[in-house]
Amino acid sequence: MKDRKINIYQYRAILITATIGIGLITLPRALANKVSTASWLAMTLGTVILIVISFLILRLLNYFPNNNIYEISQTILGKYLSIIITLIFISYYTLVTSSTVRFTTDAINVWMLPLTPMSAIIFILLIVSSYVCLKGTETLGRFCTAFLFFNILSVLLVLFFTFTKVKPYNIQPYFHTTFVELLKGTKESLLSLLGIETFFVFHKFINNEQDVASSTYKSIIFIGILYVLLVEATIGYFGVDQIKTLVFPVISLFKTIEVRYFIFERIELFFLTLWLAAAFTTICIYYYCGFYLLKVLLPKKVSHAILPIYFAITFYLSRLPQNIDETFKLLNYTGNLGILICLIITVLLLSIGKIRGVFR
Amino acid sequence: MLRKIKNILRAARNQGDKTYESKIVDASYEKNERLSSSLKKNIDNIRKTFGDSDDLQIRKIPGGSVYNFVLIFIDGLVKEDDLNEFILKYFSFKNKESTSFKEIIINSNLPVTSIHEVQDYSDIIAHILNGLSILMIEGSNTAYALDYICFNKRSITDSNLEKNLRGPREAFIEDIKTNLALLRKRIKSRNFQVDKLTIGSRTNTDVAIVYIRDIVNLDIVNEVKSRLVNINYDDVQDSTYLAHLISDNPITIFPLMAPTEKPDKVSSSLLNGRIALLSDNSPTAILLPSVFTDFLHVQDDFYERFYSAFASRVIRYIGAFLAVFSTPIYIALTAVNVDMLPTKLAIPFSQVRYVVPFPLIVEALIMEITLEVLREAGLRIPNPIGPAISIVGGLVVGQTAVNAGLISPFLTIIVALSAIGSFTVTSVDLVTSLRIIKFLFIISSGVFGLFGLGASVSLLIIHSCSLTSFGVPYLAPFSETSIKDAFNSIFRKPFIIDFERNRYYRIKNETRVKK
Repeated sequence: MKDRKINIYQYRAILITATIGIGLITLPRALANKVSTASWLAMTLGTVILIVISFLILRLLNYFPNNNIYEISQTILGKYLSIIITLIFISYYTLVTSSTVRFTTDAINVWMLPLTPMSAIIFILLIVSSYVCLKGTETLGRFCTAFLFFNILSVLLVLFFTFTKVKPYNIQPYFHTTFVELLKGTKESLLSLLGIETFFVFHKFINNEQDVASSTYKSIIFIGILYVLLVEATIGYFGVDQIKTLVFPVISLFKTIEVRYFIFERIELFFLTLWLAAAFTTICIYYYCGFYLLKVLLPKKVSHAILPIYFAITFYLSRLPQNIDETFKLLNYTGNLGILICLIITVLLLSIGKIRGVFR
Repeated sequence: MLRKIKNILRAARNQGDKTYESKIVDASYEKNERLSSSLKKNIDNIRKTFGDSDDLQIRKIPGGSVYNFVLIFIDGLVKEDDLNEFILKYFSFKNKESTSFKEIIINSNLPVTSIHEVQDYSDIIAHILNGLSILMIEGSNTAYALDYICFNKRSITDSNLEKNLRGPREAFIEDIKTNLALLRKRIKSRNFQVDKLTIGSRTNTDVAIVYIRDIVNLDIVNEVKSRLVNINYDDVQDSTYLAHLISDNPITIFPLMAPTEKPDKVSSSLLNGRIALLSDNSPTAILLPSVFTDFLHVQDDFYERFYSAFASRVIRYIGAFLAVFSTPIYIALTAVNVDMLPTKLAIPFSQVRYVVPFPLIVEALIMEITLEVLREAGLRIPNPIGPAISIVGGLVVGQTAVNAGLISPFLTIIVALSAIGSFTVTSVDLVTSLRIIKFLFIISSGVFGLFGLGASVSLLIIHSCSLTSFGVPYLAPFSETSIKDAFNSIFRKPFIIDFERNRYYRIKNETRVKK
């Protein structure tokens, strides 16, 4: 019972805050590029597929309520293969962290601090995340729950400001797309919806296992609805042709809005600060997941000493992209890896476990 | 010449050749040693144990033909009139029959509140130190501790620190018995429980843990007790010492336990499932466990009508927000993220700043530090000098510095705003930490603007998420459960729908209404 530190609310908060991150800003453009006005359909399909994936993942995890991914794969595959699988997970978490950090830094650099060197911003983001790593799972759960409000508020803010200004002809026709395009769009939406793969680490900490499945599906559907609304609102506000030319469509949206008689003239900075909270929770969660698995792999003596090295690696990876285009490529690559991990490794572990009769 | 002066000084110092011999004597009894039947030996032992201290009174009473009594007490801790009246007269003249000593003591109608039989030296020493008078007799190895305790104590007045508009005004005093009685008077329930301990290896201070048995979480009570018992420190002057010694995280900047001087606040908190820690010689009760929002609330909220309590809480939150954030946001907006301001506001800001010789962050730090110095100076100053401080501070800082072009008037407004905001937070502990946190925010927003401010806020939120107060997370209303708890903690519900206690104190009994 000592490890059961997270209650069901905190678990839900971790899922939602891990999911809502940079997708909030990039999603409308990515979808509009692929499926134009049928984005809502791709988004809905993506949500449904994610529910299927999470069903598989939870199926696997329910067999091992007290284990993380390393211990699970050790039981199923043996020692050496499990180390490889854990290393894949670690590298995936590290990649997500560094690409998210990099994208956030780009956004900050463009909109808030144009003259500040990029390394300084990356450094600060990672230092604060490292503090979470030192404090542990309990703190992370509480932190995500406390920040959940800001995450959802940042989405609601978009909806609130675009609510009256959506032009119906921008979001029509609703079904105009080919099957291949729809599949591509669905994959794009999946990239933004990922977040469930953090369960491989957090599942063993929950103190209320019965409610996990239902609250997971509820949270995913909630996020799906929020994102469908977000995408439709943004596309309805700008139109498909214009949105394809914008790097940060949602921030640009706030730039076009002028709120009179308000102290802040540029409301997009206000939104950006809120969105920073969303990006920040994502960074913290993935960074902690990678660090936690590293700690599991290594002997206990060096567990905290590994943090500076982990920090340095993440820092280096975040510095790697030369421009925003490469950042997007890195994001894309990471997302693909995430889908692979969620689908292939889960199915692999499930089927091998079934064949070997590990599950009871 | 110099040598002459030295010699004079040396001569002055060496006036008189008497040397003073220290009379420190070690305790001369074994641990758990019993009294012997020889009166002389007992007296000698006790006298040596106290190092022949001069305020230890040993009064021999020639008790007629049969008994020789001795009365031992410490000067000033006992009611000497009563001792004279009852003991001395009673035993020296009345008892000449040869009944047993015990019968005389127990069966006589001696006017005293309590009598303890004691046989160990350590018990006797403890009783003497607590102010009891010890009665011993030749030939008996039992002594009697009589309660004629009398301390001088302050009368119950209102609190200087915690002012309230409505509701009871009386505050705790420095006597633990009176304080406990004040609480007992408010909660007439058999479940109201007081557990006493003695803490501090030299001060031997009485400490009381107070709680309501059927509401509180007994695990927390046991945790408190075990932490108190494990204190290894010789000095406990005040209950705040205890709070520092048993804190979950002694080095955090946030206050983890709430001190208060008001018995009504304590009893209301007890009924919420919290625990109060009282110490002798201290007018302060420590409430635990405490979460962050507890420090922003005052007991007045419950005496006022619902709407005014709601409004004043909102105002207090705004005040706390201004106290911490007004200066950092001003700096971030005028020094770093300038483009966020409307043009009509940005131009006057920069016009005024044009004449000021310092960078904005230096200017702000100078202002803030001056303000802190003024506030600190005003805190413990004797009353007649108070107006002088405000004149000097107001004129020099407010007026002259602006006229001289050292400080921009906008910054003066902002800093004053933050000072006024900090006055709305009634908890001294929280205000202190907010003031320190503000400097961190000022520096980070001066360097990185809104982003730096956001990062440092996140850092502090992460830090406060990692804190616990006796197992209860510090941000429990926000970090534990759904938004309902947060709402209940932030705003006060009207009494007619307020049936449940706050769950985040991990209490046993959640409902306030009888079922």
